[in-house]
Amino acid sequence: MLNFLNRKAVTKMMIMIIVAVIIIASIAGSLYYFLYYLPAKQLAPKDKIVIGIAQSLSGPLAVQVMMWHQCYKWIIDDYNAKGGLYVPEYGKKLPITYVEYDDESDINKMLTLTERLITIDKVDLIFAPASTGFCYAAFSLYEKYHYPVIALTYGSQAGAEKMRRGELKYCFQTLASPDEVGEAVLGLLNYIKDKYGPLGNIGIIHHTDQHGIEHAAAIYGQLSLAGFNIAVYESYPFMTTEFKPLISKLKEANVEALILCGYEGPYFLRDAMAENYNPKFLLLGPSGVETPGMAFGALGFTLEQLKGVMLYIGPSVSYTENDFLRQWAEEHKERCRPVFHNDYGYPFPPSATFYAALQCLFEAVQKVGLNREKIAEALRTGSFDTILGKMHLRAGYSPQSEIGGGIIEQWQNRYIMDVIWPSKAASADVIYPKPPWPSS
Amino acid sequence: MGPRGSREGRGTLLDVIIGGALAGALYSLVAVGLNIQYGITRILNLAYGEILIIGAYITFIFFNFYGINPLLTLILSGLITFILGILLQVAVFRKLVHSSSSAVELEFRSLFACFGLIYIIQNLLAYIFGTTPIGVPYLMEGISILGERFKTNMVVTAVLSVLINAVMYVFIRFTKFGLAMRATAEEPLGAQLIGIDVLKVHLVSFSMGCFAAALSGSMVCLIYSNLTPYSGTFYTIIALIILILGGKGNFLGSVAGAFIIGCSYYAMLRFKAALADPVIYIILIVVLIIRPRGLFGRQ
Amino acid sequence: MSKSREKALSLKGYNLISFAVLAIIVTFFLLAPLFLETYYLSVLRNSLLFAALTISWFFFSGTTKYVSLGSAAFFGTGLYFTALYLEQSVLNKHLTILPLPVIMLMAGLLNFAIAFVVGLISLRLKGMYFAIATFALGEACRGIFNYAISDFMETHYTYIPPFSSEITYYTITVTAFTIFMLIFVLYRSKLGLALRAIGENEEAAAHLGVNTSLVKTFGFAISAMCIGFMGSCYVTIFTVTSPDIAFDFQFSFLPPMMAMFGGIGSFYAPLVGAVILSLLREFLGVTLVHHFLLILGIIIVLIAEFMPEGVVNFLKRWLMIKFRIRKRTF
Repeated sequence: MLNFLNRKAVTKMMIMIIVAVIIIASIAGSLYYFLYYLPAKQLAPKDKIVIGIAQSLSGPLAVQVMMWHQCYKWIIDDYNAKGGLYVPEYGKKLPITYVEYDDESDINKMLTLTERLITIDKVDLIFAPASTGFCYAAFSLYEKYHYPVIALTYGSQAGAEKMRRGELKYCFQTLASPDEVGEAVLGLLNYIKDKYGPLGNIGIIHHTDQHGIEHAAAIYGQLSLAGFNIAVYESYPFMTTEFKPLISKLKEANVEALILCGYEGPYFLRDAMAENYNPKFLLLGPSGVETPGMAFGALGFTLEQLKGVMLYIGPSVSYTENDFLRQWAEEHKERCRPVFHNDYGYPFPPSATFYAALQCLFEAVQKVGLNREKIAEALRTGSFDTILGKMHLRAGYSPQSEIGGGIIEQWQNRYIMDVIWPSKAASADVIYPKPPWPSS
Repeated sequence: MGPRGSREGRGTLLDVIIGGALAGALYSLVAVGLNIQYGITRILNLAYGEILIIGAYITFIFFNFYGINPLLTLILSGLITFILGILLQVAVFRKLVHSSSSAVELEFRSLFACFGLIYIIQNLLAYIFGTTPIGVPYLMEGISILGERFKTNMVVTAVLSVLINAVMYVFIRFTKFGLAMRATAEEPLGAQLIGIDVLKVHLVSFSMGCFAAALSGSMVCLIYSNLTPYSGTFYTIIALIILILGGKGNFLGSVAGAFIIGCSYYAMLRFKAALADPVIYIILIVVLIIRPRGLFGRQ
Repeated sequence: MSKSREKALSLKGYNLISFAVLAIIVTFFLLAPLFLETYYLSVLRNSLLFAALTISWFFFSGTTKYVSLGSAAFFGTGLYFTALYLEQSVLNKHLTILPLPVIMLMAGLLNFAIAFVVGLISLRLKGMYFAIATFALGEACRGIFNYAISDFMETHYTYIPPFSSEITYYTITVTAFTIFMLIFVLYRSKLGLALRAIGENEEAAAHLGVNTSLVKTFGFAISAMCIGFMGSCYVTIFTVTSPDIAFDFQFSFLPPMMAMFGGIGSFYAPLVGAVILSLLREFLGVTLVHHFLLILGIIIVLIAEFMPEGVVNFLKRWLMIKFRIRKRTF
């Protein structure tokens, strides 16, 4: 026992003591902070609005958060620049602050942190996490505590059905549900068939995640009912980067119209270019290819390579509808500069709709105050002034304005995608067949 | 469906074999680095994939911000990571090796230390570069091999991997220092007794492993555009599976194991794509049931 | 009662203070919903979950030194069995709705059986080979479930009926404490002794008459069964699950890490270590939002280098020296 007293052990002991002290101090410090400091803050008179955000800042889902949730900070900054959010109960504008936690792409942690936001931090409003699964799991918490939340990245049939039946009263979706996408694809293919003649074989490939399965099933259902011939219906591993074997199969089956339901668009494009597989109709799922900052930045595509490639992604706009949206697109570019480090930070197709959906929430507060029951009621029934005009949220469908449900866009001649379907929302006619891959 | 002639069938088989071989060549470089590290220093470096990603990020920095040709950045990233390997050894692993009283204790402690290293490296990279996926799209055009088209960069990286493997193999097999490395791998105590500077051998072999990791990481960066700070664990897994398949300490065994893994992944993608991910794990389990030492393991 | 049975349940070497402390702790956990917010209940529940996983992992891998990185396989199997049963009991009116404990028991026994078979096959492997093989098992399960669920059930997610947070809390707490007691009894029994003997020197144990393959397989199966129990109760937290959530690598990665953090010498060290690390992760994650994993990584590397016997054992030794405690009170 005495050898613990010699010099080497003393240094070792000191380091161990330091580590132990750090651990104990952090636990004690955190306990103090949360049991004394924060509750004391709650008792102060209300001088700001607090929004709680529990999302994945690290881990595999951090990419989704980075791409789709930029508008969270922007809308807070925009309203604060005008003095804050007007709250009728106080008769004045209160500045908006937020509390943000990182759930490390772990669903259990996200739920625990959301509980923390609701019960300990007692935030006024909550912004949803990213990804369909996380949103669905959080819905049960929102329903339990009656927090109205607008989920930007939830796009699954199960929750949409529940919203339509009225079982989810406080949760609102923004993306199109799979059946809306299926209808849009059917509409577009019928249009092309009428204008250009019968299409060849159709192939639908999807990844094994919920998004791919549901969208592929919905599209398959609609197309086969209408009499189209689906030659290939295959699944591939989630986030795989090897598409060469699948492309060989598609070539063998003479697939001329390919629909890829999944997030692997860029990898498919790379392999298709290498293989010189050029279907006349190519429709991809949301994957970064629709985000100009990613597509022409990290992913390294050129506009010639992407010309003709189509995407389905819900309620989209082409940013040519009016001058305001054109201006918004330019501002978007500047705002995204620190994110993508390039000059291509134009909006992805539903960027304005996400912003507008969050505006509905803020406008509801300005109309009825901070009582969450009233906000939920207003969101269910009212319509609000947003950057896209008057918008009202439809439970279980993507939001209505002049736009409609499932929308399909295509890369044509600009650095922002053009909406090509449905016609009343389109900014350009569809380019069919898809031009051949540029040789270089 | 096209006509099922013999040409179609041959096309499929050729496609799978060549594609698998190209992927396998890259995986063999990944595995060889870990093999050298584990075989000689007996430390199971679970943070291997993270070092690989560091190599990828170095290539990204040099290509993106300085415009250096990606193939030249390979050398740079290899050298930088070699030095990093020495630093890691000195700072972390040597203490573990010296103060462990048994091989089992060393295994446990190095496992634990590597968990910590994984957290550190992943989060440092995320802090510096953010979590946006990076890639260096280079030589993406297709090239024809025996009638099947592949991406040029896959072919180039496969050839480079084979070359680097060959160079390392020659070094280990035919030089005096390589002989010292092999001796330390087989009999650590005996090697010390006959006067081999085991410390130097450990430093060089661990760093050689990091060198191989960084090179393969840089090449991965050229082919795929989806690397994030968290992509490293996938490559650690591949390296471990090939290491076991080929047998610990067996250079040629790793190369053979890598080709098996590459070809089976490709074959599975062709026939039943949804099972492509688990197939490598199933192959490993089956091999371990039949031959617990791995396919080519000695000892 | 046989002698070993008597020893397992005996109170020798333990004094009243230990029991008082234990009683206070258990009462605290059982009465917590009365005075704590749901967030703190969730934090406690998560730490008990990981403590139970850690001690189950430790029961086999800590004693026999066969590091298993495949806990996720059994966790996910228990989770999926329960989730599918619950989902089908909502959709399919013909299926009898069994109470949750019965379903959990079935899930546990299923895991026991699977692990027994797996153990018989894989426990010939030594050291790193066993670790990688179990890890491959976990990932293979995830991939196969991904394929099977998406191909046969046409969906990736499995939807679960919601449970109230009190039920969730009590399910996890009671199950965790049951597992603690079970492992405690087994650890001090002949089985536990045999496992520890195998860990010290397998050949010597075999020479002394221990049937090593049977003992190892049995220990592995019990460990897997307990992990399956916890997987079952994990279901009550969510309304949706998928193979990627159920077989997430963190369930293979965290139990060993927490056990080594606490120390793998005695029964209490991994348990206390798991609770401390869980709470630490939670509180650091909330205070230092952006950098806490980095700091956690640095702490882990420092502990691996300077406190090889684990934090808890080190503190215990240090306290014993400081206060000159001679007698074992734990």
